[in-house]
Amino acid sequence: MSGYEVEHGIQPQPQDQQPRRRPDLTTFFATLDHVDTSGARQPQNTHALPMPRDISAAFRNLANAYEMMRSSDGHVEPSDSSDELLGRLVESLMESAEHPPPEVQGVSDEYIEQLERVPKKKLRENMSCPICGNAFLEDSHPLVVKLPCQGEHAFDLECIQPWIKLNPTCPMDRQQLIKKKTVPPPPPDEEDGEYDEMFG
Amino acid sequence: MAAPLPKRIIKETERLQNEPVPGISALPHDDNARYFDVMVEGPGGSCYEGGVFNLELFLPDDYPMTAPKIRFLTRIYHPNIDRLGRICLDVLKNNWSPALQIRTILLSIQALLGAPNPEDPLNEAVAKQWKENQAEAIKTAREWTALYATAKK
Repeated sequence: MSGYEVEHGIQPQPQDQQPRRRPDLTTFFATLDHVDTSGARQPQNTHALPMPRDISAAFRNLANAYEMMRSSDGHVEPSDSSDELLGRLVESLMESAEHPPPEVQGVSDEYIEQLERVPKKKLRENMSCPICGNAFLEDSHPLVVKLPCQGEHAFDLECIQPWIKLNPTCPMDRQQLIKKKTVPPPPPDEEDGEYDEMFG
Repeated sequence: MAAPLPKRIIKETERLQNEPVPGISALPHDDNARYFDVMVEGPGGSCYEGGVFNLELFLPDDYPMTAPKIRFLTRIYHPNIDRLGRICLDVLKNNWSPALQIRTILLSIQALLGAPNPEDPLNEAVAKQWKENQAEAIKTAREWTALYATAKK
């Protein structure tokens, strides 16, 4: 660092000495990358689903980062209320890490492709998409799908897709569209047993 | 406001003005059509009767995939509403569905005023009082309604 500054005749910046405002969150975001399969993201490993421990790790990483902010060796004494808030955040994150949410729950792209389409002739004037509120026939090329729930509720494909990618339920009757995925637990192997957060 | 407002929000806003829900109003800000000033009347027969409660409502960018953000601005003594006005209501959290609307959510909030649920508390102190001495809790709720939620003219 000093070499660069000497070569360029730069005075050392005073702010270098100040503590970081925030802890480094790159570890957290890297971990999150492994588990976030929402939206257009594709799972990055061959197993389609993130391991619960990866999700736990994401939560734990963030909790650690908050914990660091909390006990900052403090030029700025954190006020009591923010300290309390961070304490609560850490607590709830660790809680989530203990009981990781059941992975990303939404339906697959294949599932969406296979949804039953409603042909234009079957659409009535008074039928509208419950999500965008627009009449299906307002669109000259309506792309409407029926969910396999009991009410066979119909939606614009474009409207229902983001919802069921994250929540596999019918917005109208909350019926579950897919059964809970039962993933066989990964075969236990030596290294898994010795999993250590330090090297996670 | 760079992004154009989704048609759904425009429609919902129009319908709120043209066919208002009795005892509820929601007006968008001129400079931010996703931010609403909300007014909810305390339901008749409840300890909030006669009160007019102000709330703020914000539609996030991903609305209606996520629930609106709603908060009481008027102070209220209620086991499911905390000091900051945050509301503990299932349809605002896990039970949100994109088929719900601003008007249905506001009706749910009005119903929550009529039926406090101390078993699922957000405000521990109030919920404790509600369970241990309901008469006293209801009396306090009435007093707060008169004190904070009565229109000043």
